[in-house]
Amino acid sequence: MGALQSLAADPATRPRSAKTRSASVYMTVAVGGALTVLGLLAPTAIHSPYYLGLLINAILLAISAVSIGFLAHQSGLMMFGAAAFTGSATYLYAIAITQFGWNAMAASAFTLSASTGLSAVIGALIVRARPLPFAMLTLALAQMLRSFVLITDFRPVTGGDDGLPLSFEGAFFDFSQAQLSKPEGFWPVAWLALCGVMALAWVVGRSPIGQVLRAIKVNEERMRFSGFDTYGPRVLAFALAGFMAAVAGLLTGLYTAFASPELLDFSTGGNALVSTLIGGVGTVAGPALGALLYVVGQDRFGATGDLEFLTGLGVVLVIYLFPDGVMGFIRGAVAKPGARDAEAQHGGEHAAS
Amino acid sequence: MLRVEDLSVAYGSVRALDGVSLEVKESGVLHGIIGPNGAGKSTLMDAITGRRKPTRGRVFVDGRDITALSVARRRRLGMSRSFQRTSIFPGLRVGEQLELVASHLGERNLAGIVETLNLAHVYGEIADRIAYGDQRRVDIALALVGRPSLMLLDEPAAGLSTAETTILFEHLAAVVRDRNVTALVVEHDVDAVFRFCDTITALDLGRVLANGAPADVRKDPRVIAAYLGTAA
Repeated sequence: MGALQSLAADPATRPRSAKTRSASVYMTVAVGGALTVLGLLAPTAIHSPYYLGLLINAILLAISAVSIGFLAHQSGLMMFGAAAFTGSATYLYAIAITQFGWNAMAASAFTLSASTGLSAVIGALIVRARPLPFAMLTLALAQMLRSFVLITDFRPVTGGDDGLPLSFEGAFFDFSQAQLSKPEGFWPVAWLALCGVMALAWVVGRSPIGQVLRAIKVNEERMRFSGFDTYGPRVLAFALAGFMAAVAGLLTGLYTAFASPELLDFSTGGNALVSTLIGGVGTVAGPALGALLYVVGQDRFGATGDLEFLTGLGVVLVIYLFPDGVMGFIRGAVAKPGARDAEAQHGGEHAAS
Repeated sequence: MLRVEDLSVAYGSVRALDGVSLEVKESGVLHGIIGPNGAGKSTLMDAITGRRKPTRGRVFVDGRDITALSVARRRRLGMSRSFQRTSIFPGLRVGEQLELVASHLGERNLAGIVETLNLAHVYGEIADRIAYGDQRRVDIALALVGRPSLMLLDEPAAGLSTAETTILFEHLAAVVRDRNVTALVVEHDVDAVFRFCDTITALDLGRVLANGAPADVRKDPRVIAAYLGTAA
């Protein structure tokens, strides 16, 4: 491909972003690393356990939202029932602790691997569906799991409608359950998990498989006629999204020490879905920002006594005013006018943010 | 090279293809498929490439029965196609999409394809923002990547001016000659087909009317009656 290298080197034919791509990667890694370190220090700046707890709730929601945004951006598939994967992960963790008697580390490893495996199996069954039936299938899955944990015969295992409280002895890494139950103790675990999930989504988005996924999203038929298997990569993307959602579920179990049927409810997945829409699916950071805005908004609106009305109004206004999400709006405002349209067209660049 | 035996495709009670058989024996040949609207040209392309499952019949490439193979498998075995409606990757740059497919199919001479199809000037551009004629050539370039032995091109000149069509067919003829690839071309521009194609099959109502050299097909009374008219 020597001649191609000449093409790439020729200013007339070189992709406009190529010369800035490496710099963009280094900048993103540097900023991401700095934010990761700075974020660990948050408890020293936020002394209120209430606000720290609020931010932890935002992080848990953000991880679910990032998983939804990842799948939507990479595959064009919107998951209405993310609760199926967050909630089932919490239950798997609780069952591993209470029924199998495993320690927290073993239960966590089991939770993440079993959830990812479950996601892969479910993905293999449903990723061929068109976007709307796909979304409804994930929603149906969550509702089915919710009904399952409420079945009386399984009550000794799932706790039925009372839920499943748990406690573990020993440590999760160096954290005891007592430490993890406090916002300041749980913060580093939650923050690093969020950063890890976002880094995973970013790296996959920039990898060859990310490029293949986005090409499948924009023209699946052409990909098949280019010799690509379009099924396997979509199953992989779904399994990865399931893994990310399971991280949120595992963290919920570690933090609350309780698995509740509400975790599998539509409203739980709906919160993550709305957060994703608020932030925008075009970037990794968008859904996380959406989750933060959603949780803060819920807190403010709840104080007025008109939570549902104001939440609905706020969501409608945000989606109307920012059709590409708040992050999409910010990117559009920051980007140079000439680059704005190109960026809007170029999915691979979006994933870099 | 390509042998189609008794190929039939039905849409409900409508037979879009009715026992079509044809053979392209040599490689490096530009073979035209002509016929009026509804003749079954695009359906024939779909059935050969696996986009549509035939209700009867078989497709052989280099003696191998590929009728049951998937689209992707056929592509990896050397059968590619372009579409009546341009089928590229809209949000990706021209170079990125060509390189993506080239790396998957092990294409070593992508620069040659870019040069042959005159795509160097749009190599770094986002594909859906370039001129339509350039998009058509990107579509053909995607079909050409990976050194296919057989290309099926469905109305590659659709929407192009006469001058652009001539240029496109000159490119195609060069590609077929230089890369020793066989191309089946469905095209409504009869002048271009008769000028550039080595052999031609004429279809009507899902059946083969005539098959052979351009001069013979042009004189065939059934082809004149069904498609060419007295102007031919």
